[in-house]
Amino acid sequence: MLRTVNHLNLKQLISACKKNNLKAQSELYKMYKDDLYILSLKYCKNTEEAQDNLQDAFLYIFKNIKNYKELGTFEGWIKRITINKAIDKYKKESFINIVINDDILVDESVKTEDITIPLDAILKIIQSLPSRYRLVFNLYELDNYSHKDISELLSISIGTSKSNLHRAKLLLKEKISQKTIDRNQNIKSNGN
Amino acid sequence: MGTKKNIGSAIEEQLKGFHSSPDDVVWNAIEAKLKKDKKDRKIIFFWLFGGTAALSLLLIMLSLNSTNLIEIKSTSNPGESKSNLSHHKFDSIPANEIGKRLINETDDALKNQVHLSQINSQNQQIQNKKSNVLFSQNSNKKEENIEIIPNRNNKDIKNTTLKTDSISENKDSLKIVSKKIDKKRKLPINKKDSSSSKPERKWSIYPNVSAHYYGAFAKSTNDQLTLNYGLYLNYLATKDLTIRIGVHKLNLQQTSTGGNSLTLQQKASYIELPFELKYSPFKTKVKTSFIGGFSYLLLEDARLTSTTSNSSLQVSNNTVFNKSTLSVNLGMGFQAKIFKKLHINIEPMFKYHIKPYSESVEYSPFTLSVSSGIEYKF
Repeated sequence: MLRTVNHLNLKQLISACKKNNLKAQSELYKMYKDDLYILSLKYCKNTEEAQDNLQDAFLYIFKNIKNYKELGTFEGWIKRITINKAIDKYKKESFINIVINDDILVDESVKTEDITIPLDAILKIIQSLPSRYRLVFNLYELDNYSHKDISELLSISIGTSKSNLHRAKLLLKEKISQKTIDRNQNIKSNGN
Repeated sequence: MGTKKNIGSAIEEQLKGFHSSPDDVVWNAIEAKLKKDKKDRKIIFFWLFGGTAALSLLLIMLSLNSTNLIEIKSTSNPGESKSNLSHHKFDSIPANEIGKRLINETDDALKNQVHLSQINSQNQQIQNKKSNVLFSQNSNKKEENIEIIPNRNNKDIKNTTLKTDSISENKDSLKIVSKKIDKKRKLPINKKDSSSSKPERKWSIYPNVSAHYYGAFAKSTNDQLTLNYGLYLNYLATKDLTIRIGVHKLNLQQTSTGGNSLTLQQKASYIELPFELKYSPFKTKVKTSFIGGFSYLLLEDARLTSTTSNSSLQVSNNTVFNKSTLSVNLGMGFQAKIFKKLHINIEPMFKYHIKPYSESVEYSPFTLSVSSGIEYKF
Protein backbone atom coordinates (compact mmCIF):
# COMPACT_ATOMS: atom_id res chain seq x y z
CA MET A 1 0.00 0.00 0.00
CA LEU A 2 1.04 3.55 -0.47
CA ARG A 3 1.95 5.51 2.62
CA THR A 4 -0.78 5.47 5.23
CA VAL A 5 -2.45 8.84 5.20
CA ASN A 6 -4.98 10.26 7.57
CA HIS A 7 -8.16 10.00 5.54
CA LEU A 8 -9.59 13.32 6.69
CA ASN A 9 -6.35 15.16 5.94
CA LEU A 10 -6.15 13.58 2.51
CA LYS A 11 -9.71 14.59 1.73
CA GLN A 12 -8.96 18.17 2.75
CA LEU A 13 -5.77 18.15 0.72
CA ILE A 14 -7.56 16.86 -2.36
CA SER A 15 -10.26 19.45 -1.90
CA ALA A 16 -7.65 22.23 -1.69
CA CYS A 17 -5.81 20.84 -4.72
CA LYS A 18 -9.06 20.99 -6.67
CA LYS A 19 -8.97 24.74 -6.00
CA ASN A 20 -5.40 24.90 -7.34
CA ASN A 21 -3.96 25.70 -3.93
CA LEU A 22 -0.20 25.53 -4.45
CA LYS A 23 0.57 24.74 -0.83
CA ALA A 24 -1.80 21.80 -0.89
CA GLN A 25 -0.30 20.62 -4.17
CA SER A 26 3.13 20.77 -2.57
CA GLU A 27 1.93 18.72 0.40
CA LEU A 28 0.33 16.14 -1.84
CA TYR A 29 3.54 15.89 -3.84
CA LYS A 30 5.60 15.34 -0.69
CA MET A 31 3.17 12.69 0.44
CA TYR A 32 3.38 10.53 -2.68
CA LYS A 33 6.56 11.51 -4.52
CA ASP A 34 8.71 8.62 -3.28
CA ASP A 35 6.18 5.91 -4.00
CA LEU A 36 5.37 7.18 -7.44
CA TYR A 37 9.03 7.73 -8.17
CA ILE A 38 9.86 4.10 -7.38
CA LEU A 39 6.94 3.07 -9.56
CA SER A 40 8.32 5.24 -12.37
CA LEU A 41 11.80 3.79 -11.89
CA LYS A 42 10.44 0.31 -12.53
CA TYR A 43 8.64 1.32 -15.71
CA CYS A 44 11.23 3.66 -17.22
CA LYS A 45 14.62 3.09 -18.74
CA ASN A 46 16.63 5.20 -16.32
CA THR A 47 16.36 7.72 -13.50
CA GLU A 48 16.16 10.74 -15.80
CA GLU A 49 13.17 9.33 -17.63
CA ALA A 50 11.65 8.20 -14.34
CA GLN A 51 11.86 11.76 -13.01
CA ASP A 52 10.38 13.07 -16.26
CA ASN A 53 7.58 10.56 -15.89
CA LEU A 54 7.00 11.57 -12.29
CA GLN A 55 6.79 15.21 -13.35
CA ASP A 56 4.32 14.42 -16.14
CA ALA A 57 2.24 12.27 -13.82
CA PHE A 58 1.96 14.91 -11.11
CA LEU A 59 1.09 17.65 -13.60
CA TYR A 60 -1.64 15.42 -14.99
CA ILE A 61 -2.86 14.59 -11.49
CA PHE A 62 -3.09 18.26 -10.48
CA LYS A 63 -4.83 19.25 -13.69
CA ASN A 64 -7.34 16.42 -13.52
CA ILE A 65 -7.86 16.08 -9.80
CA LYS A 66 -11.27 17.70 -10.29
CA ASN A 67 -12.27 14.55 -12.15
CA TYR A 68 -11.36 12.28 -9.26
CA LYS A 69 -14.75 11.04 -8.06
CA GLU A 70 -13.61 9.06 -5.03
CA LEU A 71 -14.99 5.87 -6.56
CA GLY A 72 -11.71 4.07 -5.91
CA THR A 73 -8.81 4.89 -3.65
CA PHE A 74 -6.89 8.03 -4.39
CA GLU A 75 -3.67 6.02 -4.25
CA GLY A 76 -4.98 3.63 -6.90
CA TRP A 77 -5.99 6.57 -9.10
CA ILE A 78 -2.59 8.30 -8.98
CA LYS A 79 -0.81 5.00 -9.45
CA ARG A 80 -2.77 4.24 -12.62
CA ILE A 81 -1.98 7.69 -13.96
CA THR A 82 1.74 7.18 -13.31
CA ILE A 83 1.74 3.78 -14.99
CA ASN A 84 -0.27 5.07 -17.95
CA LYS A 85 2.13 7.96 -18.40
CA ALA A 86 5.02 5.52 -18.57
CA ILE A 87 3.14 3.31 -21.00
CA ASP A 88 2.44 6.30 -23.23
CA LYS A 89 6.14 7.04 -23.27
CA TYR A 90 7.19 3.61 -24.48
CA LYS A 91 4.12 2.25 -26.19
CA LYS A 92 5.25 3.49 -29.56
CA GLU A 93 8.23 1.16 -29.45
CA SER A 94 7.25 -1.82 -31.51
CA PHE A 95 5.78 -4.88 -29.92
CA ILE A 96 6.52 -7.91 -32.02
CA ASN A 97 3.54 -10.23 -32.13
CA ILE A 98 5.29 -13.51 -31.53
CA VAL A 99 3.60 -16.33 -29.69
CA ILE A 100 5.87 -19.07 -28.41
CA ASN A 101 4.81 -22.64 -27.75
CA ASP A 102 4.59 -23.83 -24.19
CA ASP A 103 6.71 -26.90 -24.96
CA ILE A 104 9.78 -24.81 -25.66
CA LEU A 105 9.37 -22.69 -22.56
CA VAL A 106 12.47 -22.64 -20.42
CA ASP A 107 12.35 -22.70 -16.64
CA GLU A 108 12.65 -19.12 -15.44
CA SER A 109 12.37 -19.80 -11.72
CA VAL A 110 15.17 -18.77 -9.40
CA LYS A 111 16.18 -19.24 -5.80
CA THR A 112 15.53 -16.12 -3.73
CA GLU A 113 18.86 -16.41 -1.92
CA ASP A 114 20.63 -16.51 -5.28
CA ILE A 115 19.70 -12.88 -5.80
CA THR A 116 22.53 -11.40 -3.82
CA ILE A 117 23.08 -8.28 -5.84
CA PRO A 118 22.03 -4.87 -4.44
CA LEU A 119 18.51 -3.63 -4.97
CA ASP A 120 19.47 -0.75 -7.21
CA ALA A 121 21.34 -3.22 -9.41
CA ILE A 122 18.17 -5.31 -9.71
CA LEU A 123 16.29 -2.17 -10.65
CA LYS A 124 18.88 -1.27 -13.25
CA ILE A 125 18.54 -4.73 -14.77
CA ILE A 126 14.77 -4.26 -15.04
CA GLN A 127 15.33 -0.85 -16.61
CA SER A 128 17.75 -2.36 -19.13
CA LEU A 129 15.08 -4.69 -20.52
CA PRO A 130 13.62 -3.76 -23.92
CA SER A 131 10.48 -1.66 -23.32
CA ARG A 132 8.12 -4.34 -24.64
CA TYR A 133 9.45 -6.79 -22.06
CA ARG A 134 9.83 -4.33 -19.21
CA LEU A 135 6.27 -3.02 -19.44
CA VAL A 136 4.69 -6.46 -19.58
CA PHE A 137 6.89 -7.77 -16.75
CA ASN A 138 6.06 -4.83 -14.49
CA LEU A 139 2.36 -4.87 -15.24
CA TYR A 140 1.96 -8.61 -14.77
CA GLU A 141 4.46 -9.50 -12.06
CA LEU A 142 4.72 -6.35 -9.99
CA ASP A 143 1.33 -4.69 -10.43
CA ASN A 144 -0.98 -7.66 -10.87
CA TYR A 145 -2.51 -6.84 -14.23
CA SER A 146 -3.89 -9.79 -16.17
CA HIS A 147 -2.73 -10.65 -19.69
CA LYS A 148 -6.13 -9.51 -20.94
CA ASP A 149 -5.71 -6.12 -19.26
CA ILE A 150 -2.18 -5.82 -20.62
CA SER A 151 -3.27 -6.72 -24.13
CA GLU A 152 -5.85 -3.93 -24.04
CA LEU A 153 -3.53 -1.43 -22.43
CA LEU A 154 -0.65 -2.04 -24.84
CA SER A 155 -2.78 -2.89 -27.89
CA ILE A 156 -1.20 -6.29 -28.30
CA SER A 157 -2.58 -9.81 -28.34
CA ILE A 158 -2.80 -11.91 -25.19
CA GLY A 159 -0.34 -14.36 -26.77
CA THR A 160 2.16 -11.58 -27.34
CA SER A 161 1.76 -10.46 -23.76
CA LYS A 162 2.49 -13.98 -22.53
CA SER A 163 5.51 -14.50 -24.75
CA ASN A 164 6.93 -11.07 -23.88
CA LEU A 165 6.58 -11.90 -20.21
CA HIS A 166 8.39 -15.18 -20.70
CA ARG A 167 11.20 -13.49 -22.62
CA ALA A 168 11.44 -10.81 -19.95
CA LYS A 169 11.86 -13.39 -17.22
CA LEU A 170 14.51 -15.29 -19.12
CA LEU A 171 16.46 -12.12 -19.77
CA LEU A 172 16.17 -11.09 -16.14
CA LYS A 173 17.35 -14.49 -14.91
CA GLU A 174 20.28 -14.41 -17.29
CA LYS A 175 21.30 -10.87 -16.36
CA ILE A 176 20.93 -11.39 -12.62
CA SER A 177 22.98 -14.58 -12.80
CA GLN A 178 25.70 -12.82 -14.76
CA LYS A 179 25.70 -9.88 -12.36
CA THR A 180 25.91 -12.28 -9.40
CA ILE A 181 28.88 -14.09 -10.95
CA ASP A 182 30.65 -10.79 -11.66
CA ARG A 183 30.00 -9.60 -8.12
CA ASN A 184 31.30 -12.81 -6.57
CA GLN A 185 34.44 -12.65 -8.71
CA ASN A 186 35.03 -9.05 -7.64
CA ILE A 187 34.67 -9.98 -3.99
CA LYS A 188 37.11 -12.85 -4.45
CA SER A 189 39.67 -10.72 -6.28
CA ASN A 190 39.38 -7.98 -3.65
CA GLY A 191 39.86 -10.63 -0.93
CA ASN A 192 43.05 -11.86 -2.60
CA MET B 1 18.71 -25.10 0.53
CA GLY B 2 16.24 -22.45 -0.61
CA THR B 3 13.05 -23.01 -2.52
CA LYS B 4 12.80 -21.97 -6.11
CA LYS B 5 10.53 -19.07 -6.87
CA ASN B 6 9.17 -17.44 -9.94
CA ILE B 7 11.71 -14.78 -10.79
CA GLY B 8 8.96 -12.16 -10.82
CA SER B 9 7.94 -12.99 -7.27
CA ALA B 10 11.55 -13.12 -6.16
CA ILE B 11 12.26 -9.67 -7.60
CA GLU B 12 9.04 -8.30 -6.19
CA GLU B 13 10.02 -9.53 -2.76
CA GLN B 14 13.47 -8.01 -3.06
CA LEU B 15 12.19 -4.65 -4.25
CA LYS B 16 9.89 -4.28 -1.26
CA GLY B 17 12.77 -2.83 0.68
CA PHE B 18 13.83 -0.39 -1.97
CA HIS B 19 13.67 3.28 -1.13
CA SER B 20 14.47 6.26 -3.29
CA SER B 21 13.46 9.90 -3.64
CA PRO B 22 13.34 12.13 -6.70
CA ASP B 23 15.50 15.23 -6.92
CA ASP B 24 14.15 18.54 -5.70
CA VAL B 25 14.40 19.81 -9.24
CA VAL B 26 11.31 17.71 -10.12
CA TRP B 27 9.11 19.68 -7.74
CA ASN B 28 10.70 22.94 -8.89
CA ALA B 29 9.71 22.12 -12.47
CA ILE B 30 6.18 21.10 -11.43
CA GLU B 31 5.78 24.24 -9.32
CA ALA B 32 6.98 26.48 -12.16
CA LYS B 33 4.51 24.86 -14.54
CA LEU B 34 1.63 25.15 -12.07
CA LYS B 35 2.39 28.84 -11.54
CA LYS B 36 2.60 29.41 -15.27
CA ASP B 37 -0.75 27.67 -15.78
CA LYS B 38 -2.31 29.85 -13.10
CA LYS B 39 -0.97 32.94 -14.84
CA ASP B 40 -2.21 31.69 -18.22
CA ARG B 41 -5.67 31.11 -16.79
CA LYS B 42 -5.74 34.68 -15.55
CA ILE B 43 -4.72 35.95 -18.98
CA ILE B 44 -7.38 33.87 -20.71
CA PHE B 45 -9.93 35.09 -18.18
CA PHE B 46 -8.95 38.68 -18.79
CA TRP B 47 -8.95 38.53 -22.57
CA LEU B 48 -11.95 36.36 -23.25
CA PHE B 49 -14.50 37.08 -20.60
CA GLY B 50 -13.08 40.35 -19.39
CA GLY B 51 -13.03 41.60 -22.96
CA THR B 52 -16.59 40.52 -23.53
CA ALA B 53 -17.75 42.07 -20.28
CA ALA B 54 -15.87 45.32 -20.98
CA LEU B 55 -17.40 45.58 -24.42
CA SER B 56 -20.86 44.96 -23.03
CA LEU B 57 -20.34 47.55 -20.33
CA LEU B 58 -19.03 50.06 -22.82
CA LEU B 59 -22.11 49.65 -24.96
CA ILE B 60 -24.40 49.96 -21.97
CA MET B 61 -22.59 53.14 -20.91
CA LEU B 62 -22.91 54.56 -24.40
CA SER B 63 -26.60 53.84 -24.45
CA LEU B 64 -27.01 55.46 -21.02
CA ASN B 65 -25.28 58.60 -22.19
CA SER B 66 -27.57 59.07 -25.17
CA THR B 67 -30.23 61.82 -25.27
CA ASN B 68 -32.96 61.37 -22.73
CA LEU B 69 -35.47 63.82 -24.08
CA ILE B 70 -37.02 63.36 -27.45
CA GLU B 71 -39.68 65.48 -28.92
CA ILE B 72 -41.97 63.80 -31.35
CA LYS B 73 -43.94 65.95 -33.72
CA SER B 74 -46.68 64.75 -35.96
CA THR B 75 -47.91 66.86 -38.83
CA SER B 76 -50.27 64.75 -40.80
CA ASN B 77 -53.46 66.16 -42.25
CA PRO B 78 -56.65 65.45 -40.35
CA GLY B 79 -59.93 64.66 -41.98
CA GLU B 80 -58.80 62.33 -44.71
CA SER B 81 -61.28 59.77 -45.97
CA LYS B 82 -60.92 56.00 -45.60
CA SER B 83 -60.21 55.62 -49.27
CA ASN B 84 -57.33 57.97 -49.03
CA LEU B 85 -55.80 56.27 -46.05
CA SER B 86 -54.21 53.38 -47.80
CA HIS B 87 -52.85 55.49 -50.63
CA HIS B 88 -51.63 58.31 -48.49
CA LYS B 89 -50.25 56.35 -45.60
CA PHE B 90 -46.56 56.98 -46.16
CA ASP B 91 -47.06 60.69 -46.60
CA SER B 92 -49.46 61.31 -43.78
CA ILE B 93 -47.78 59.13 -41.18
CA PRO B 94 -44.01 59.01 -41.29
CA ALA B 95 -42.68 55.53 -40.77
CA ASN B 96 -40.70 56.44 -37.72
CA GLU B 97 -43.73 58.09 -36.20
CA ILE B 98 -45.63 54.81 -36.33
CA GLY B 99 -42.66 53.08 -34.79
CA LYS B 100 -42.68 55.55 -31.96
CA ARG B 101 -46.36 54.96 -31.46
CA LEU B 102 -45.70 51.24 -31.13
CA ILE B 103 -43.04 51.95 -28.58
CA ASN B 104 -45.40 54.02 -26.51
CA GLU B 105 -48.77 52.45 -27.12
CA THR B 106 -48.60 49.99 -24.30
CA ASP B 107 -46.43 51.94 -21.97
CA ASP B 108 -48.53 52.43 -18.84
CA ALA B 109 -45.92 54.42 -17.05
CA LEU B 110 -46.11 57.18 -19.54
CA LYS B 111 -49.81 57.11 -20.28
CA ASN B 112 -50.44 60.57 -18.81
CA GLN B 113 -47.72 62.17 -20.80
CA VAL B 114 -48.26 60.54 -24.15
CA HIS B 115 -50.86 61.82 -26.63
CA LEU B 116 -50.76 59.72 -29.70
CA SER B 117 -52.96 59.90 -32.74
CA GLN B 118 -55.79 57.44 -32.69
CA ILE B 119 -57.27 55.63 -35.58
CA ASN B 120 -61.05 56.00 -35.46
CA SER B 121 -62.69 53.15 -37.30
CA GLN B 122 -66.11 54.85 -37.16
CA ASN B 123 -65.37 58.06 -39.01
CA GLN B 124 -62.27 56.70 -40.75
CA GLN B 125 -60.27 59.72 -39.87
CA ILE B 126 -56.86 59.89 -38.47
CA GLN B 127 -56.29 62.64 -36.02
CA ASN B 128 -52.78 63.53 -35.26
CA LYS B 129 -51.81 65.83 -32.54
CA LYS B 130 -48.63 67.51 -31.74
CA SER B 131 -47.28 65.34 -29.00
CA ASN B 132 -44.61 65.88 -26.49
CA VAL B 133 -43.22 62.66 -25.19
CA LEU B 134 -40.80 62.29 -22.41
CA PHE B 135 -38.72 59.22 -22.51
CA SER B 136 -36.47 58.15 -19.79
CA GLN B 137 -33.78 55.63 -20.07
CA ASN B 138 -34.12 52.30 -18.41
CA SER B 139 -31.04 51.95 -16.36
CA ASN B 140 -31.83 48.64 -14.81
CA LYS B 141 -29.44 46.71 -16.92
CA LYS B 142 -28.91 43.12 -16.06
CA GLU B 143 -25.51 42.20 -14.75
CA GLU B 144 -23.79 39.58 -16.81
CA ASN B 145 -21.74 37.33 -14.65
CA ILE B 146 -19.79 34.66 -16.42
CA GLU B 147 -17.69 32.19 -14.55
CA ILE B 148 -14.27 31.48 -15.89
CA ILE B 149 -12.94 28.00 -15.70
CA PRO B 150 -9.28 27.21 -15.64
CA ASN B 151 -7.56 25.95 -18.72
CA ARG B 152 -7.05 22.26 -18.35
CA ASN B 153 -5.12 21.65 -21.50
CA ASN B 154 -3.25 18.46 -20.95
CA LYS B 155 0.02 18.91 -22.71
CA ASP B 156 3.03 17.09 -21.49
CA ILE B 157 5.52 19.67 -20.48
CA LYS B 158 9.12 18.87 -20.18
CA ASN B 159 10.95 22.04 -19.42
CA THR B 160 13.65 20.59 -17.32
CA THR B 161 16.27 18.07 -18.06
CA LEU B 162 16.71 15.94 -15.04
CA LYS B 163 20.06 14.36 -14.85
CA THR B 164 20.87 13.52 -11.30
CA ASP B 165 20.73 9.93 -10.33
CA SER B 166 19.17 9.87 -6.96
CA ILE B 167 19.24 6.21 -6.24
CA SER B 168 21.01 5.79 -2.98
CA GLU B 169 24.64 4.85 -3.50
CA ASN B 170 24.93 3.27 -0.12
CA LYS B 171 23.74 -0.18 -0.97
CA ASP B 172 24.18 -1.51 2.52
CA SER B 173 22.01 1.11 4.04
CA LEU B 174 18.94 0.09 2.15
CA LYS B 175 16.33 -0.71 4.69
CA ILE B 176 13.35 -2.94 4.39
CA VAL B 177 10.35 -0.67 4.42
CA SER B 178 7.09 -2.08 3.36
CA LYS B 179 5.96 0.26 0.64
CA LYS B 180 4.53 -1.86 -2.02
CA ILE B 181 1.99 0.19 -3.86
CA ASP B 182 -1.53 -1.21 -3.72
CA LYS B 183 -0.01 -4.53 -4.34
CA LYS B 184 -2.77 -6.86 -3.43
CA ARG B 185 -5.54 -4.97 -5.09
CA LYS B 186 -6.43 -5.88 -8.60
CA LEU B 187 -6.16 -2.74 -10.64
CA PRO B 188 -8.85 -2.13 -13.23
CA ILE B 189 -7.74 -0.55 -16.43
CA ASN B 190 -8.90 2.99 -16.65
CA LYS B 191 -8.31 4.07 -20.17
CA LYS B 192 -9.46 7.56 -19.36
CA ASP B 193 -6.29 8.10 -17.38
CA SER B 194 -4.17 7.38 -20.35
CA SER B 195 -3.10 10.33 -22.38
CA SER B 196 -2.61 7.96 -25.28
CA SER B 197 -6.29 8.12 -26.11
CA LYS B 198 -7.06 9.93 -29.33
CA PRO B 199 -7.30 13.70 -28.93
CA GLU B 200 -10.72 15.21 -29.41
CA ARG B 201 -11.40 16.74 -32.76
CA LYS B 202 -10.77 20.45 -32.57
CA TRP B 203 -13.18 21.80 -35.16
CA SER B 204 -16.85 21.31 -35.76
CA ILE B 205 -19.74 22.87 -37.63
CA TYR B 206 -23.21 23.08 -36.21
CA PRO B 207 -26.09 23.95 -38.55
CA ASN B 208 -29.16 24.60 -36.48
CA VAL B 209 -32.81 25.50 -36.48
CA SER B 210 -34.20 27.58 -33.66
CA ALA B 211 -37.51 28.78 -32.32
CA HIS B 212 -37.30 32.39 -31.16
CA TYR B 213 -39.52 34.17 -28.68
CA TYR B 214 -39.12 37.93 -29.13
CA GLY B 215 -40.16 39.61 -25.90
CA ALA B 216 -39.50 42.75 -23.95
CA PHE B 217 -39.17 43.69 -20.32
CA ALA B 218 -41.80 46.21 -19.13
CA LYS B 219 -44.01 45.69 -22.16
CA SER B 220 -46.86 43.35 -22.89
CA THR B 221 -46.55 41.56 -26.22
CA ASN B 222 -47.84 38.42 -27.89
CA ASP B 223 -47.53 36.39 -31.09
CA GLN B 224 -43.78 36.38 -30.73
CA LEU B 225 -42.64 32.97 -31.96
CA THR B 226 -40.66 32.59 -35.18
CA LEU B 227 -38.53 29.86 -36.69
CA ASN B 228 -34.96 30.69 -37.72
CA TYR B 229 -31.81 28.96 -38.90
CA GLY B 230 -28.07 29.41 -38.85
CA LEU B 231 -24.61 27.90 -38.62
CA TYR B 232 -21.90 27.80 -35.97
CA LEU B 233 -18.19 27.10 -36.43
CA ASN B 234 -16.69 25.72 -33.22
CA TYR B 235 -13.08 25.44 -32.10
CA LEU B 236 -12.14 23.37 -29.07
CA ALA B 237 -9.61 25.68 -27.39
CA THR B 238 -9.06 23.56 -24.31
CA LYS B 239 -10.48 20.30 -23.04
CA ASP B 240 -13.48 22.12 -21.58
CA LEU B 241 -13.72 25.38 -23.49
CA THR B 242 -15.06 25.88 -27.00
CA ILE B 243 -14.91 29.15 -28.89
CA ARG B 244 -17.55 29.57 -31.56
CA ILE B 245 -18.59 32.06 -34.16
CA GLY B 246 -21.55 31.83 -36.43
CA VAL B 247 -24.09 33.39 -38.69
CA HIS B 248 -27.85 33.28 -38.24
CA LYS B 249 -30.78 34.63 -40.17
CA LEU B 250 -33.19 36.05 -37.63
CA ASN B 251 -36.77 36.98 -38.32
CA LEU B 252 -38.31 38.33 -35.16
CA GLN B 253 -41.80 39.56 -34.52
CA GLN B 254 -43.98 40.79 -31.71
CA THR B 255 -47.49 42.12 -31.52
CA SER B 256 -48.96 44.58 -29.08
CA THR B 257 -52.49 45.84 -28.74
CA GLY B 258 -53.62 49.40 -28.20
CA GLY B 259 -56.92 51.16 -27.71
CA ASN B 260 -59.71 51.21 -30.29
CA SER B 261 -59.04 47.65 -31.48
CA LEU B 262 -55.63 48.69 -32.72
CA THR B 263 -53.11 45.92 -33.17
CA LEU B 264 -49.50 46.71 -33.93
CA GLN B 265 -47.22 44.02 -35.24
CA GLN B 266 -43.51 44.74 -35.39
CA LYS B 267 -41.27 42.56 -37.55
CA ALA B 268 -37.52 42.86 -37.61
CA SER B 269 -35.06 40.85 -39.70
CA TYR B 270 -31.45 40.58 -38.62
CA ILE B 271 -28.27 38.88 -39.70
CA GLU B 272 -26.80 37.72 -36.42
CA LEU B 273 -23.05 37.14 -35.99
CA PRO B 274 -22.54 35.48 -32.60
CA PHE B 275 -19.21 35.14 -30.77
CA GLU B 276 -19.62 32.81 -27.84
CA LEU B 277 -17.68 30.67 -25.39
CA LYS B 278 -18.98 27.29 -24.39
CA TYR B 279 -17.74 25.78 -21.17
CA SER B 280 -18.36 22.06 -20.70
CA PRO B 281 -17.16 20.90 -17.28
CA PHE B 282 -19.25 17.74 -17.09
CA LYS B 283 -18.17 14.72 -19.11
CA THR B 284 -21.42 12.87 -18.80
CA LYS B 285 -23.25 10.95 -21.50
CA VAL B 286 -25.29 14.04 -22.23
CA LYS B 287 -22.68 16.78 -22.15
CA THR B 288 -23.94 19.90 -20.40
CA SER B 289 -22.39 23.26 -21.25
CA PHE B 290 -22.66 26.86 -20.15
CA ILE B 291 -22.68 29.39 -22.95
CA GLY B 292 -21.83 33.06 -22.78
CA GLY B 293 -20.93 35.74 -25.30
CA PHE B 294 -22.39 38.36 -27.53
CA SER B 295 -23.87 38.78 -31.00
CA TYR B 296 -23.44 41.51 -33.54
CA LEU B 297 -26.85 42.13 -35.15
CA LEU B 298 -27.16 43.71 -38.58
CA LEU B 299 -30.63 45.00 -39.38
CA GLU B 300 -31.98 43.83 -42.73
CA ASP B 301 -35.51 45.13 -42.55
CA ALA B 302 -38.09 46.30 -40.06
CA ARG B 303 -41.81 46.56 -40.75
CA LEU B 304 -44.69 47.71 -38.68
CA THR B 305 -48.25 46.65 -39.44
CA SER B 306 -51.09 48.44 -37.73
CA THR B 307 -54.44 46.73 -37.95
CA THR B 308 -57.83 47.97 -36.91
CA SER B 309 -61.14 46.19 -37.31
CA ASN B 310 -61.53 47.64 -40.80
CA SER B 311 -58.11 48.37 -42.15
CA SER B 312 -54.51 47.32 -42.20
CA LEU B 313 -51.48 49.48 -42.72
CA GLN B 314 -47.93 48.29 -43.24
CA VAL B 315 -44.92 50.59 -43.26
CA SER B 316 -41.20 50.15 -43.25
CA ASN B 317 -39.83 51.53 -40.01
CA ASN B 318 -36.13 50.88 -40.50
CA THR B 319 -35.34 54.31 -39.14
CA VAL B 320 -36.72 53.41 -35.73
CA PHE B 321 -34.15 50.62 -35.44
CA ASN B 322 -30.42 50.99 -35.32
CA LYS B 323 -28.68 49.58 -38.37
CA SER B 324 -26.56 47.43 -36.11
CA THR B 325 -26.72 46.47 -32.48
CA LEU B 326 -25.41 43.96 -30.00
CA SER B 327 -26.90 41.35 -27.75
CA VAL B 328 -25.45 39.77 -24.63
CA ASN B 329 -25.98 36.02 -24.79
CA LEU B 330 -26.33 33.48 -22.02
CA GLY B 331 -27.51 29.93 -22.24
CA MET B 332 -26.98 26.26 -21.79
CA GLY B 333 -26.15 23.45 -24.17
CA PHE B 334 -26.94 19.78 -24.06
CA GLN B 335 -25.10 17.46 -26.40
CA ALA B 336 -25.42 13.75 -27.06
CA LYS B 337 -23.31 11.60 -29.34
CA ILE B 338 -25.03 9.94 -32.28
CA PHE B 339 -22.05 8.60 -34.19
CA LYS B 340 -18.30 9.07 -33.92
CA LYS B 341 -18.34 12.53 -35.47
CA LEU B 342 -21.99 13.46 -35.20
CA HIS B 343 -23.59 14.95 -32.11
CA ILE B 344 -27.06 16.28 -31.52
CA ASN B 345 -27.41 19.58 -29.67
CA ILE B 346 -30.21 21.35 -27.85
CA GLU B 347 -29.44 24.85 -26.66
CA PRO B 348 -31.81 27.17 -24.80
CA MET B 349 -30.49 30.73 -24.98
CA PHE B 350 -31.36 34.14 -23.57
CA LYS B 351 -30.19 37.19 -25.53
CA TYR B 352 -30.55 40.69 -24.20
CA HIS B 353 -30.54 43.32 -26.94
CA ILE B 354 -28.50 46.40 -26.19
CA LYS B 355 -29.90 49.63 -27.66
CA PRO B 356 -31.74 48.15 -30.64
CA TYR B 357 -33.68 51.38 -31.33
CA SER B 358 -32.40 54.66 -32.59
CA GLU B 359 -34.69 56.32 -30.06
CA SER B 360 -34.58 55.76 -26.33
CA VAL B 361 -37.36 53.60 -24.97
CA GLU B 362 -38.36 52.36 -21.58
CA TYR B 363 -38.56 48.72 -22.37
CA SER B 364 -35.80 46.30 -23.18
CA PRO B 365 -36.22 43.70 -25.89
CA PHE B 366 -34.78 40.23 -25.59
CA THR B 367 -35.07 36.86 -27.24
CA LEU B 368 -35.54 33.45 -25.72
CA SER B 369 -34.67 30.67 -28.09
CA VAL B 370 -34.23 26.94 -28.28
CA SER B 371 -32.00 25.77 -31.08
CA SER B 372 -31.26 22.26 -32.20
CA GLY B 373 -29.18 20.60 -34.87
CA ILE B 374 -26.52 18.06 -35.69
CA GLU B 375 -22.92 19.00 -35.00
CA TYR B 376 -20.21 17.50 -37.21
CA LYS B 377 -16.73 17.26 -35.68
CA PHE B 378 -13.58 17.14 -37.79
